[in-house]
Amino acid sequence: MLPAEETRIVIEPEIRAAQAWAERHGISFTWLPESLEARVNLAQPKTGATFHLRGRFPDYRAFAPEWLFTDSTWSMSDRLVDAPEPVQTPYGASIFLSYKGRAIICAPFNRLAYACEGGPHGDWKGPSEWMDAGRNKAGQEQKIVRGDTVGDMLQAIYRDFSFTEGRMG
Amino acid sequence: MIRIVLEVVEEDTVVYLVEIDADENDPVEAVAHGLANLVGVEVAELLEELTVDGEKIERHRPTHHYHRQGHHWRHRHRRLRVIVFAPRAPEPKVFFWMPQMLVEHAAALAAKAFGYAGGHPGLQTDSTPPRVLDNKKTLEAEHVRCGSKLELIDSGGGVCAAR
Repeated sequence: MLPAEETRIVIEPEIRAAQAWAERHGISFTWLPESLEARVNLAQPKTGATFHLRGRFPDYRAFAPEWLFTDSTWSMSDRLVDAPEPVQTPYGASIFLSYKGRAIICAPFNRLAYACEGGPHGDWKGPSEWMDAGRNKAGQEQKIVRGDTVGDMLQAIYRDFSFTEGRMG
Repeated sequence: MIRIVLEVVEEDTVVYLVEIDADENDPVEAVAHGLANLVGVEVAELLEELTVDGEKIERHRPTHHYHRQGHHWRHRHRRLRVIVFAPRAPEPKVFFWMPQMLVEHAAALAAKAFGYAGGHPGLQTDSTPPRVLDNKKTLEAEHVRCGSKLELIDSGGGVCAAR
């Protein structure tokens, strides 16, 4: 377990970049340093509905962060009704997934996508090796979406979010 | 030694100046190497569009032949000045790319400059909604202009449907 202060120092430049990214895209982004939590309001282009994306960063960068869609009070987890309905994108499958009744953001940079956290990916070694997840046995990179910093993760999520329509549940 | 001041011109506007000290007896070509490095273009490219007072500067002549007090050399560059943002950096970077460059090549250069390793870089416009540029087309075919603002993206796909 990393001291929270250490994580705050490591993540601070990434948060500044993420805030700049959010401003460029007209997206509301709030960083709560005490709880190491990011709150992002995303407006679905096709419906105008607001979705609440929450990122938590305990032990970051030693471990992948936890990304999920929540309710407007930022307290619920994994409910289908809070997550966007996935739509195939020009890049391939959407990273949004309904898995065993839970809404998962399925990407190597999301701790909740790993099997040990109840997610679908037992084929990735674990959330401590998130930077290498998605490489094949020869170490070659597969063409799956990457996000190595907070801003990159937001960009990846927002990219697929832009194609969604409605809610999962 | 003489000081050469070079104006870099883009669409009839001087966008910046670079300066270099040179031996007045050196051929222009030798000075052009230093100037090309400063501008970030190929030497041949610089020499093709290098003038002073409207006169084309020839590469084999001595530098002093074109040194006129208070008169700047001028290079009209044919590259696109593109401003690229990346999600991992608060500030953009400026690149000078040939219009015929493939989008995927430009994206790879930008990704490297921003410190990305691996991944599948691509570029999108800053419009709302953004338009993702086709990696297999050239910048000009994708309507990138001088001063265009682009954002670096990862074009890798989701994984779960493939499982």
